Amino acid sequence: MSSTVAHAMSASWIAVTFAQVKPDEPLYILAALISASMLDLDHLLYAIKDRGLYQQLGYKGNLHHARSVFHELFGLLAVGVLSGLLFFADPKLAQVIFIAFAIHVTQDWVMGKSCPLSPIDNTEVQLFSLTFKQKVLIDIVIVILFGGLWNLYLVGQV
Amino acid sequence: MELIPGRPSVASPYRGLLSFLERWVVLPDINPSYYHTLALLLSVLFLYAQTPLQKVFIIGVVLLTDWLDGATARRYKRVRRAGYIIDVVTDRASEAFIFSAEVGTVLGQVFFLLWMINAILAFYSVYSNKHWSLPLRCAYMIVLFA
Repeated sequence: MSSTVAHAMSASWIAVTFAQVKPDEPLYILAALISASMLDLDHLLYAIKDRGLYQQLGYKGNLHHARSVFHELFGLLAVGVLSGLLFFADPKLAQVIFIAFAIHVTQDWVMGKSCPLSPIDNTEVQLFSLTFKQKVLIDIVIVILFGGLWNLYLVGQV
Repeated sequence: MELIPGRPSVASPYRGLLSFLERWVVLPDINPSYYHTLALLLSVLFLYAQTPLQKVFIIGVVLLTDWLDGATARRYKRVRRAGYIIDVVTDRASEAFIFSAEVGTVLGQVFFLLWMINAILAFYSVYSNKHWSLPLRCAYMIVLFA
């Protein structure tokens, strides 16, 4: 849960500041927040679907299995294609959606285990062997840092 | 024995030059993922780059880290299929940030389309066990120079 909040805050802030969305453009801000956090719904779906397995193994340290191909390069490509099409209608919205999504996917790759070239190759990779406590600590730092940055953005100082 | 996709012969001269340089470079024995993470952070920073000089500098450092991660893995015998996949995916994510930052121009849109082809080639590389990719960041850096 802390990870979802950290994703939502950091990815959406980067997306809105990059696309130069103004604080009085709530639709773009909402789109960034949704795009930055929506992907975590698939953890929930898979955790419910495979709950028997998680009751045996435990959720802690095993939730990386509860993800679809949209959490991998395939998802980034799919959102890239959708954003490319959306670009012709609303370039700013397309950029906000793509960047927020890309940041989220990238954070997941860096922080945990993943199968980035799934469904073609299911090799599991991990950049760093972080413990659960270290991940939570990083999430807390991200939430505090981007909480401050969101505050500055909303008062018009970024 | 893990299968690692081989490079096509078209890349031989360039790979040969890099292999030659690799022998002379001092490389610390660190997890190559530090280079991957640095490349990703710099690619995100590219979103905020304003001038062509800043952009060229960032892409240059990203390309350098891309070379160093592979060189470190080879020097310290850490070449694995998982490492290859991390390298490829880091490159595609890095390109995604760099070219999405540039879609405001026609050239940027062309490169963003080429990034999609590169992402598809990443899947094809692991499927065919032969590495294929377009050197998009290098090409874009040359374009920025020009």
